[in-house]
Amino acid sequence: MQTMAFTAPGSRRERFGELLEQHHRIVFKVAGSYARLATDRADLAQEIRAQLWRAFPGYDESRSFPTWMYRIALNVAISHLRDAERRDRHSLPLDESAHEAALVGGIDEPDERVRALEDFMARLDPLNRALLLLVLEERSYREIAEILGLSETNVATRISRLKQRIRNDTSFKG
Amino acid sequence: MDTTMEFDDMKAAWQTLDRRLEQQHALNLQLFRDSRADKARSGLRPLFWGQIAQIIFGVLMILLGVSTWSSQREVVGLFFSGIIVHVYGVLAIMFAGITLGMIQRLDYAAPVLTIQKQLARLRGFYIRSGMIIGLSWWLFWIPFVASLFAWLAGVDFYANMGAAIGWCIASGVVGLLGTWAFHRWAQRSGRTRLREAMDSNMTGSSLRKAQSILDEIRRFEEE
Repeated sequence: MQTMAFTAPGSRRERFGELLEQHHRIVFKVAGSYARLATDRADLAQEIRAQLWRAFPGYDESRSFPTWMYRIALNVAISHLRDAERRDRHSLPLDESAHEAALVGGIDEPDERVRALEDFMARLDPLNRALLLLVLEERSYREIAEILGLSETNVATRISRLKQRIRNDTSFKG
Repeated sequence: MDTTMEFDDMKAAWQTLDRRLEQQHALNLQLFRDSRADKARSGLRPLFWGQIAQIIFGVLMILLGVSTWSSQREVVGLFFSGIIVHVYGVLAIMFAGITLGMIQRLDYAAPVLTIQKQLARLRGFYIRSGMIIGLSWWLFWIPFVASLFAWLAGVDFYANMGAAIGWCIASGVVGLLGTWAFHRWAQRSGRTRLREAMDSNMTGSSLRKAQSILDEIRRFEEE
């Protein structure tokens, strides 16, 4: 395995910064899918970046960076979600999405489909949520299989079930 | 009117969400640049230091145990107390070492299912070993105190306690069984608040949680 070999810590940091900036959307999408509150999302995004940085010396540059990044981001997000469930067992969830839209200004009008997507994601268990995110990101079956640790056939079956579930379980005010 | 959502609707919604997240990213970028990613908290750090503390505690127990059994070979009770304290120290170190090994082997770049299984197993092992180390004090305090007295003042605790030592052992056994029975009763009788209070003390809920995560992964794999 050819891991990232850098002579100076500075060059490693620079390379990491470049790659992270290039694929920064992955961090935001994963954090956005596993944490609904803005503060929690920021914490999770920070936790993902920290874990990516820690794991970076072991990154094999002959392999896809986004695949490596998804694995780490999803692993951190799933653990974060489980910890948050334990912490917040007695607190009521607060839907901040509409409020946030007003705060950041100029963001799209509240969209019923977005709300339906968020609700559907929130109802999924952490592993199926990871699968949905990767499908929506149009990742290939091979890549999804590699990220999740499943066979490609298994991925195909699950995706078809997930699409069926979307049809059965979700609706929006059209 | 409610419209059934198709996968394409969901993709369109995802793209809207993507734009929203991108705008938020631009706002948060400065915050990120100002922070050092490698200084962010790690959920496993307290667990790591907890295990280091347990190893130090185990070493102290071994020192106490060895000092007792090696100097009290003629006094059977004290000799075996020293052995028990020694074994307890070894177990404490062993459990902490295994937990540390499991933490070190965690590679977040591994496939999601692999790492989530490893995390659930780590959690389960940590809780079970913690219960063994903790609950054994119902009885372990006897050889521990005997060894401590022998080491500090050369006193034979058992000789001084006389017949009362039998009561100490009996109350330890009753306490241990009682804790177990009370926990089971609280779990089955539907007393939510009592159960939650006990769970937080005895980590029973954490153990169930670890098991439920493993079950969830298994279900996901078998789906």
